[in-house]
Amino acid sequence: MKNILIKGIKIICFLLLFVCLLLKFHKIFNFKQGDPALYSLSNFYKQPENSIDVMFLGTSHVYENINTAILYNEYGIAAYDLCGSGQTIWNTYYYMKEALKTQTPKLLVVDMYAMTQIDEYSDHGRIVKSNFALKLSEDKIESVKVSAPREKWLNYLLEYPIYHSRYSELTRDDFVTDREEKLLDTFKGFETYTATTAFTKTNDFYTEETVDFIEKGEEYLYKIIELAKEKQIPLLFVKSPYIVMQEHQKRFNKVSEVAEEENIPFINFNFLYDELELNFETDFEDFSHLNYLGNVKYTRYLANYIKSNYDIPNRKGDPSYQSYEKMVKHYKQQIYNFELTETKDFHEYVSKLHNEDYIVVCSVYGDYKNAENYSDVREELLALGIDLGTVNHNTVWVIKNGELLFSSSAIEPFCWYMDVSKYDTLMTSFEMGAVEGIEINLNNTIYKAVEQGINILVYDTETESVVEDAGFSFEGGRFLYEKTE
Amino acid sequence: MLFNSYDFMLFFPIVIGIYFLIPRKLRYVWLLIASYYFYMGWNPKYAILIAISTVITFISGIFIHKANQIENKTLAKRLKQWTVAGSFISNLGILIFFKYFDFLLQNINLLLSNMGVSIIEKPFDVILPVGISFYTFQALSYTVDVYRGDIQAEKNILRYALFVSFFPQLVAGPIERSGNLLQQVDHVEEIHVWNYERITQGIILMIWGLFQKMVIADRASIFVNQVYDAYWMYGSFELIIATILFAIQIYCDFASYSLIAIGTSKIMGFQLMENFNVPYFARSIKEFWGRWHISLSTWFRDYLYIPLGGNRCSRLRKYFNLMVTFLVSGIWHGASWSFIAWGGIHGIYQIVGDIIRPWKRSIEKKYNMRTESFSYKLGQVMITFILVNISWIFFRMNSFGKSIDFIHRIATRWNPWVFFDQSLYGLGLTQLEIDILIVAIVILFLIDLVRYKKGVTIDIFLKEQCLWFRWFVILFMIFFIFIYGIYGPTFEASQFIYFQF
Repeated sequence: MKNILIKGIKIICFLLLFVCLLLKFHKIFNFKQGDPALYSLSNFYKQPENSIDVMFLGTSHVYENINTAILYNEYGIAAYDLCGSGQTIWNTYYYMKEALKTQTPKLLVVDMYAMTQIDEYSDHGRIVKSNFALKLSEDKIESVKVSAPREKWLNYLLEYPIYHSRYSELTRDDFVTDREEKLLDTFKGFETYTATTAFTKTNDFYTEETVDFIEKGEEYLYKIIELAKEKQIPLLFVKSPYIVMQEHQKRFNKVSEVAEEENIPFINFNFLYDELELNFETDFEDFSHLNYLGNVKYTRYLANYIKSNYDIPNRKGDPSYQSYEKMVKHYKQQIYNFELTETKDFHEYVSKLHNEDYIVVCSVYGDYKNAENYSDVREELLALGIDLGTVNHNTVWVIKNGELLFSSSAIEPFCWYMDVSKYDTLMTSFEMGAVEGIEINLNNTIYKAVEQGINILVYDTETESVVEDAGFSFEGGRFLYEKTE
Repeated sequence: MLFNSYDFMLFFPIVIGIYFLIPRKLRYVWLLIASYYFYMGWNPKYAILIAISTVITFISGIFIHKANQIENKTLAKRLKQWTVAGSFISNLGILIFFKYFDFLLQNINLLLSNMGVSIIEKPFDVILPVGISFYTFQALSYTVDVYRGDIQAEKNILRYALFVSFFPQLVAGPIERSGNLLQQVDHVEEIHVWNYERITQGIILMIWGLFQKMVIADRASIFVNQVYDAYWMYGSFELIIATILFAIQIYCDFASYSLIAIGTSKIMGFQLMENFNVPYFARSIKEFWGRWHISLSTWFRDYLYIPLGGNRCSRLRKYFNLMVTFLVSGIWHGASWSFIAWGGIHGIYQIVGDIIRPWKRSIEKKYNMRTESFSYKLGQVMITFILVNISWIFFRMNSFGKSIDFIHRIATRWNPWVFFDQSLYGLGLTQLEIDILIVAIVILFLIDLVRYKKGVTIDIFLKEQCLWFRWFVILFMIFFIFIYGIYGPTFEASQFIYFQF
């Protein structure tokens, strides 16, 4: 009997150890940052119950276009973009079903892009993105069964057969999740994109024809409508602006028909370019998505519509919505960082370096005291704490929020380093005889944009990332104010 | 149903769960149902063939048993001989038809076209049933064993059917003998199923088998396939490395199947025969065949080589016997001339080895060579390994002419710079993948070394170790498979190489 007991304890201990290791394995190998599609839902689970007033559902057209920071900051709307890249309407349904288990929003807004889907199944990546974050439940099993062909169900349900192959792409962020957690703390499903692609405005897509949805798509669109009715939550269908094709428009015409039948408002913003004041030269990230300028215009218009047609409370100033305040701060910092990288003018650039979250490392290589136009920039540099007039022609400064953390000239060897975040280490050093002068190094990456002139490395402690490393060159006895990328 | 598939992950726990719980008397019936279900996972029609083989060999056993009771010994002997002949002809007839029909037709047509006669059209497609070579040999050995009086004829056809179709070893061996497995089937009621030590040892063997298959064999195959499929694009060293990796691949692939078979059987309380015993540590080809696919080589020894006269005859006759045995072994592996060549090469190795042995001994004596030193033994192991690798080229290439061309390229296109210019990393495996493969092969080497030195398998070795070490090794292997195993949606559980044979 004693023997059996010992063996039993051994088996239990072994299984416990195995399960602990398995959970750790899952945590390390599971998909993390890189695509909002996955953590849109995983982070959604962390939201306090019944805290979200407006929920936006759909594809990347939601998470790139509907700016939750603007919604909160300017309209007091506590919104969440619960969506996924290329998400099918059946996955949107299961996301909605999952969301309504813990939230009772006052409005559900669904982007209709998914209705252009013509395939029975999405691609492998999208199936992963729309299912892996779902908590294990009957709904998740149903979702996988609808999303993937039968022979692949087990792979998507067990998950590890898919993510184990990530062993060749694991990074620090897979093992240490502090950066992810910090980021998610400010995340409400929205991601801002700053790239710009110019397009020409056209009405070529316009058609009155309609095309039926695929059977599965139609089935789940009606399921969404039914679920909203059952939960007595008003639905609003939208289609955010993009470079739309006629084939897609035919399906949006079909959406209009369904919406009319079901008495659901449907706003197709492809007919409202002028009302949105969209600039096709500057407001698109790519043909399908708006960028940081476009999403603000679209979001404001939509917010005004929602405010005027639905009774949505203003959560601004409510202490229980601190995470929304953090989101706004983070968003503003992102935009600020981006604008810094876009700034070419030296005066303006230096003045923008005054930011409470920045650590600025500035190294100068060359003698600028006698440069013809040195006096033009002297004041800006002095304001930052940098005086080129009194130092050796090869000097480095490390400044944080107006405070000089370190400065040295290349007169004798030095090596100074600082842990700027838990896992980022900044170092500046000089060795005698080093022809390249002072070195700026972050995590073993050397930053040097120009050989002669001023090198600037900007590190943002809020986002724990390098904002940019820029160089202002010096040629022919003059500063060239133009930044070197 | 493959051992490394979800189906088996579901199938096996259900089978043993029920097996452990049902009344003892029903155990063999349950295992028979499970075995047929397992086999029908490939193609339900295959079950008919295995059933036919089973019935024929079962009846032949009964006939022989009855013949033994006849008082007229001459008549009895003749009847028994006819029975054995009938069993062999019908079973081998089925095997030849399903396995060699296309090959025979092809060669007949080649002959006919050389003689200017029009070729015979292929009348139908023949699909090779999985594992037919294995279970046919197993069933035939039973007939001979009964004929020789080594065992009593089995009276219960269901028990006998389980012996032929026992699912762990059904499709890729070990080819069991009636003296071992059938005896255990007969006493299945006596198995004490809840045996902690035995079950854990079985699980360890399964894990180690899956490690060899999923981490080593399937990873090595990526490199091997890339090089062999376009061997004319590569120089000596890529071809040599690919061949060594193929040697490792086929060993891990095949030995892993046997390990999983032995492990699953052990969990259920059956002890299957050993099939691989660190073959690449062999110091001669003869020794290699005592360590490689032991169940098949002993089968050929007992049921072909010895009946032909073995080595108790003239030297010439012995060489003839050896050659016949190895050529048949070659064609058993597949319907192709390159398999026959592979068998032939091994036959020649053994004959040449036997002829030069006296010379070798006299040279060793003359130069006072230290034959017991480590370096001498290592040299023997290396030479044996090289000879085996040369034969593997024929095995893998599946074409005699291409194999010769392959060897010619090894000899003439030296390119040692591949060890320096990183080009080896572009052959299907990245640097990381190659690093993983090297680590896994080192683990394989260490475990095989323990086996060689201590003569114990991994399950027994671990049993003798401290708890922390045992758990560490087991968990390490499980997570090594989880992380570095080749599986997932981009990978369909790859077939074990030996299934086609």
